Amino acid sequence: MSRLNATSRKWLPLLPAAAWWAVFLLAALVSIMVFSFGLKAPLSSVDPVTFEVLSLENYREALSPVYVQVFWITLKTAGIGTFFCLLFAFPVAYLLSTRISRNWRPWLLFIIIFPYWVSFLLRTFAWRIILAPEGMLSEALQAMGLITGGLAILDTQLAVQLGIIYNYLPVAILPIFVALERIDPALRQASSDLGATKITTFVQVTLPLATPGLIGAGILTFILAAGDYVVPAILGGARGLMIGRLIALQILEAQNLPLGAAMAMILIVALLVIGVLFALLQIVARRLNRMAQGAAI
Amino acid sequence: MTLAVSVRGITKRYGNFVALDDVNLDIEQGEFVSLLGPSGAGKTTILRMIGGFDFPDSGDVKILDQNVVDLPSHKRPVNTVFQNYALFPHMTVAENVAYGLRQERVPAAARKTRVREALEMVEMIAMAQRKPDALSGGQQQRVALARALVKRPSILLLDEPLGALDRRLRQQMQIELKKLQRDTGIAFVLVTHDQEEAMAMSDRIVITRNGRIEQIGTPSDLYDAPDTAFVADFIGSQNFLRGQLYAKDTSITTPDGRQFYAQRVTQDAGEDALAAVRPEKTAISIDKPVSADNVCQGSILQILHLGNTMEFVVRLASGDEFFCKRPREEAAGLAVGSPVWLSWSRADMSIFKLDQGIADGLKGARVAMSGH
Repeated sequence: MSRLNATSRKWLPLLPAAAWWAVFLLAALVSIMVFSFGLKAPLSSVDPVTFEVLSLENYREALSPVYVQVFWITLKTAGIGTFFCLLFAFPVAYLLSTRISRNWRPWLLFIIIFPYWVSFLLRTFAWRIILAPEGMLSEALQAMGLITGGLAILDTQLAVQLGIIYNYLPVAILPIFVALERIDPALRQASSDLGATKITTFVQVTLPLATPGLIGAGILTFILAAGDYVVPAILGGARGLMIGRLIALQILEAQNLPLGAAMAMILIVALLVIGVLFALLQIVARRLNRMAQGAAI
Repeated sequence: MTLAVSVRGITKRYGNFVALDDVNLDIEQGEFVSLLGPSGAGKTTILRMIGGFDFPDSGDVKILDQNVVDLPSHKRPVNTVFQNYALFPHMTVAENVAYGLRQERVPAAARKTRVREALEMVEMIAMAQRKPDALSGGQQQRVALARALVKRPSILLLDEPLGALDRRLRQQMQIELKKLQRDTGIAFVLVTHDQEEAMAMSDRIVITRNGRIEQIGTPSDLYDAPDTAFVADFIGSQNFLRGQLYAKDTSITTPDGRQFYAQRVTQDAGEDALAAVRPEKTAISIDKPVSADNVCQGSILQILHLGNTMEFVVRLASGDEFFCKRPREEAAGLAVGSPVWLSWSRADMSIFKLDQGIADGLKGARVAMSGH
């Protein structure tokens, strides 16, 4: 221990996590990347992949119009899901951090997290019962005369969309709540003291200071939603497809590991590109805002 | 003349706790007024009522003859320097100062000039493009002042503005605040629990206690002629003796039969009363003083160096502890344990109505009571 220099001692606490990730995350990622350049082995072979020729064949197939369509649906579903999650999460986080006394907050947060005590699979499956054409919701809507015939949502993209929003809402609430709770209430009072209305205070003080939390919540929700395969598998049926489900099908059922790996790589790259675009957009928006306001001095 | 602020009969309750009880207060234009009191006395609540951050259950708040009691803070012609400055962390110093002018839709050219002037006034122009978290506490304090004063309010409210600064900086800021107030001619209303700060800066001081105003007066009024034992103790400090005050008399008799003479007896003082003398007016000597109005004997419990003065803690025969603050020259030959004589003039002693809070703190009284 005494021979370790100061720098290594400083980073020593990282070792367990770094080792864990090196083995299970990095190794897995690298092998997926390698697999994506291989080919599906003949059924007689022991290994699932052959590397006799390294090819881009999997990428060509993964980018064929049918699959590109599914990529697009995936990003759209995740995007819409993220939008609604943030929209619904913000008021909850705002009320929780400004209107609820400090003593009650942990309990309300507990209630928000509580659904996670139930298995993800089971929670999602419960929606099949709710959304079923002969289910409670369907009958209630029919009784109110809002729809005729059974509810036709189950096994469609809409069902997947609903399931995604429902499942990731708590994930969106927490980072926003943390960001809002860190804003000193005196800042809102100072804003009002200087002549700002409630709306101006919200737009000029609260929202900018909550932005890091909103971005965090957005990224987290979007990435989790884009990679989800349980929701489309359970609620989407044949028509509600997302790329995560397709990857699972390729690997688990079609035994085409290389194609699944290529799809996974494309998803990772697509998410990275979207992340970078968003970051750029934010910088531009901030510049535009500065310009619109004019220099302070 | 139109009053800057006129507070009439405001009362505020939080559940069973009475934060303010029928408070009346007038503040003139251009006046420097401090609200001074222990924590929980209601001084900050009064400030928040003037600023519009809290609303009274009953009573009125007038600013420049206009009743503002129902107006929210953004519609009142007052500005506030908050306790921890409350600078917007995502804006530069200049943007912080410009914020209030943007709300008034001051045109860009005029706005820039006023921001510049405000920052020059507090000598922070060089820091205009910095973010608040790159500033020291004293610098943040100046920016908070500039941000409030740039609005040219008729009244500036300051909520313990110097509390977070170290001693040296605090004294420097006291001088600057006083100068700023004189230069701008704006009424300053300052909340503090530090009596030296209030004494140093204020034209008048408002002493609050348990949600009521105990006394209002100039620093010298409060120092020389306090109405109550509480005020006497809070402004500076006092040695108290509890005893019997006989009708028409100007002396009290302590339970151990000693008599102490005073110059001044407050109107409301009853039979059970407190006599008080300041530590700096109490003389200490080894030999019995030849001619003194009041004398008593004790022994030195502790000696504290306070720079150019010395403070002696003396235990009297009754068990009471007396403080005595003298120049260093007089400390010669005095040591812990020495038997000494304390003496003071009747001109320096006052008799007040019994104050239970202070009486409970007297060791002698407790000894006397347990003796019964």
